[in-house]
Amino acid sequence: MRIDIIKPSVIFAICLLGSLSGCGAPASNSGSGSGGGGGGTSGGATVSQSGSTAAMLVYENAIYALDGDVFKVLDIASEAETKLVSKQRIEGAETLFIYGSHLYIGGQFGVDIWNIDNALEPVQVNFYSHARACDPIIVDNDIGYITLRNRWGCDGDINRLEIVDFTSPTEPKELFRYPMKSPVGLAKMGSYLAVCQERYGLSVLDVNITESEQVKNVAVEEVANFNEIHCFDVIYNKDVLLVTAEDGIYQLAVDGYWLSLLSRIPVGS
Amino acid sequence: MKKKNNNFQGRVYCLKRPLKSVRYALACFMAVIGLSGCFGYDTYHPQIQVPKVLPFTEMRQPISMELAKPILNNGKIVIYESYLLVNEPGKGIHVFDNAAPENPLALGFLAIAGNTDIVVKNNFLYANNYVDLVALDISDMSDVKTVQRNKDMFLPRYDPATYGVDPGDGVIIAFEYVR
Repeated sequence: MRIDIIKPSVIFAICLLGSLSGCGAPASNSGSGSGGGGGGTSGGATVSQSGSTAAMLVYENAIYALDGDVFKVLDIASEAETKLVSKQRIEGAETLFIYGSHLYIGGQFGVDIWNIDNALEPVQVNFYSHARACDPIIVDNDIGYITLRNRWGCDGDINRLEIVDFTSPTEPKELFRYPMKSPVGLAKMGSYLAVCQERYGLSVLDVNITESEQVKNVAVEEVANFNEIHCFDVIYNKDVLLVTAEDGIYQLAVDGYWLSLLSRIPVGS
Repeated sequence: MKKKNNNFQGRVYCLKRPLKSVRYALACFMAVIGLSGCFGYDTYHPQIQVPKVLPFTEMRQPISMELAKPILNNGKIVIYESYLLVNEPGKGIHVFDNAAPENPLALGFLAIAGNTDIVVKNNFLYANNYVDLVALDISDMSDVKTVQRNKDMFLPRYDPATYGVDPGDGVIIAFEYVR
């Protein structure tokens, strides 16, 4: 049966009954490490995991923060105090994401890519420009996923997902553009992509990237949409999708692209 | 004989018969002045913008865990170990024990004025507190300690000099419009 034509509330009810009856699989460590902005362990230290709209991230002995559109590097090696190491204005900067040894700064004018082999001294390696529209970016398995959204405060009249090959961060290659309604925060969810679309709900995309003769081919299909979850960001952690939405924080158990409601922390009066 | 017009249309009536009666003219004049307030146009009582300042003495107190309370507005979230930390923009962080995602437990609230972002490393929770960056030791969530207050790490949203506020006094957090 097709997920998208079944009312989400019906799906939730069925799955909730299923999980209550003990059918749910035990949560396991997905070990995805690079979900959101870091997360998990790094050289013995435990660090927090953030969503794609984070404006502050921790990496080794550094905190990267966007103070408005001023990119600041802070030294947190000392337990007694934190020091400002450097600052630089990046016009329109909005979000931060770390993948491998690179920091991706998403903003209104594109994506700024920095090499953070030396955590306290990031070196800019590239600037990937695209249409002017506010966006978060995530990178997974060398592929970058950037959402562009038309909203008040952002230029442009574009709503889409851009897929970019970041195998070589110094030479990003645009692979695909997928039109969407109002994409914001996103997260890789196993082999799927969970994308928040505010009033248009939470969408799950199946992204298929194949390579033939050194050319990457991309196919994208929306396999599910939960239009009652008006969300703006997601985190995928240990088979659970945590979603920040208008009316609460949803936690959904993930099984492929199948999402079942675990809990909702209510928000609002 | 002309029928009496029973539709008193206020100002329109006045305009049609401007010289008919001084009483009507006066009534119209007062109506216009009185009603102008309804449309936000008030010629006699201009509004002034008064900055609302949060004094540093109040802002720079140690932060500790308060009783859990409902989330009125949710911002960004982070996961750290089995904790779920939910920012309430401008107010602070709601802390949940999320060991069982099907049943998150509210543990408390960390009141951090001006907070928007959170990161944690090795049980040190770093959060922005308007212009400061604070670090809280959360190794014992029942006894959270403020271990660092890094002052003036961030720019204030409103420049105090522009509004005649002494930068050493505090942070402008909002404006009040008074007459």
